[in-house]
Amino acid sequence: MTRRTALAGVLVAGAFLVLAWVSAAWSPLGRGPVLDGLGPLAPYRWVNPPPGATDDGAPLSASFELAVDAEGSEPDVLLTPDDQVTLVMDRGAIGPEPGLRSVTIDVTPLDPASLGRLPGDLTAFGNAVRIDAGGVVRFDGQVDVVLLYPETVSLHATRHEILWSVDGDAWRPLDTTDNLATQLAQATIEAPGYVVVGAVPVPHPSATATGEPEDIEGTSTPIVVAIAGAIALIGVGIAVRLRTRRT
Amino acid sequence: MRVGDRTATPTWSLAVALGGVGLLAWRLRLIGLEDPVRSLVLGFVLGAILVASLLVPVVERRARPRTVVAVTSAGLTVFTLAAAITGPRPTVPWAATALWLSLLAAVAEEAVFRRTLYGVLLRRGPMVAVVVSAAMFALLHVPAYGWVAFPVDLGAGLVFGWQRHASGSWAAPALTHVAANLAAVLR
Repeated sequence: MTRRTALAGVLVAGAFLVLAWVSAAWSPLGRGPVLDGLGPLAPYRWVNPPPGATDDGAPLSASFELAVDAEGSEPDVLLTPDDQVTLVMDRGAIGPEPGLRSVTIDVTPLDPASLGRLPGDLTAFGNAVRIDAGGVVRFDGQVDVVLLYPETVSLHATRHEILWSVDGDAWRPLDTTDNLATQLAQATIEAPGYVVVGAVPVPHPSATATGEPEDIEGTSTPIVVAIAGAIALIGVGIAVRLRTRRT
Repeated sequence: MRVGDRTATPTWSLAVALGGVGLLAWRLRLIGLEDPVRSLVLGFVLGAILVASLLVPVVERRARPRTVVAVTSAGLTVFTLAAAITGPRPTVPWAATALWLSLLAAVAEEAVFRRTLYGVLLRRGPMVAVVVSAAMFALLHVPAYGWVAFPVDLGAGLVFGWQRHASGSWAAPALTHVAANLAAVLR
């Protein structure tokens, strides 16, 4: 390796660290050295599974103890044991108070049908979640909530948003970062309360004109296109190889 | 630099590279399909991309194992630093098949971007090959991850491209990419 190549490597490494920091500062969903892959997820855990949904057991509630000192609560990332709800608490998310040494954050999944209707044409994607913070009515620092949402053939959307409510009745949409690959939505909340992922359902690419998903053995469009495209690509690759041999 | 025994027509090599990118983008349409169908289709598509990319002869230097190890180690070090700087990321409940699919995805993507596409672009110089392949790698992930992914994936693509240039082989970026994906799924 030449000296020039090594120097280029140092510059590239520096640029990468800056760019990784930019993504991470943008959203908690931008954290990590590379955002890649579209691996399948385990089935969603529903409070009240809709008909036909794969039941993977009940979602898990969680309770977290957050230490508070003179500068407020310590920074922490709180994740429920089923990986369906994440709270990213910045330093001082809960402000300091005389005698306050810790605060308990409770995360409880709920059936959205038991709460108020979502505005417009929005449908709840997955469970609603109640977030309690030991009587705290407003956060003093940044708190990001990250919710996993289900994606199925019959419950499909291309854009998801998080809605927040103080009482579970009137919902307000939040500025949301949506991550289809990992089925995660993220938004900043200013106070404890209720959150849910909402979206306007659209037909899945594999749905027929009747709105029903086609049989796997039938002509499910995305599967057929993927397989046909893969076979065609191998064909082009073979053609390139043969063509090269002749020249 | 040693030129391979055979050189492919750039247009056809580019067709394989762009076809691979198109199929990688099509993966998004498979979200919502239940396993095992989704995993089987994804596995077949990624395998096909890898095979087609490997069929394309490219200009490659004979990589010395010591250089590949050194360049891979440098890449892993900077990826570890980036993970430390960015902090913990929300995890998701991956299905059991996600592990081998993420590894196959890493190898297939590197075969497309740092082998075939890089090989075509190298005719315009290493700088163009590194930057353009990195930009296309970052753009590929925007529909799935949003624009929030563009900066970090552009940076990762630049590192992978530098590894390809410095080692003369796509093995170093592939090994680094596999390790990064493995860490993300196993966390």
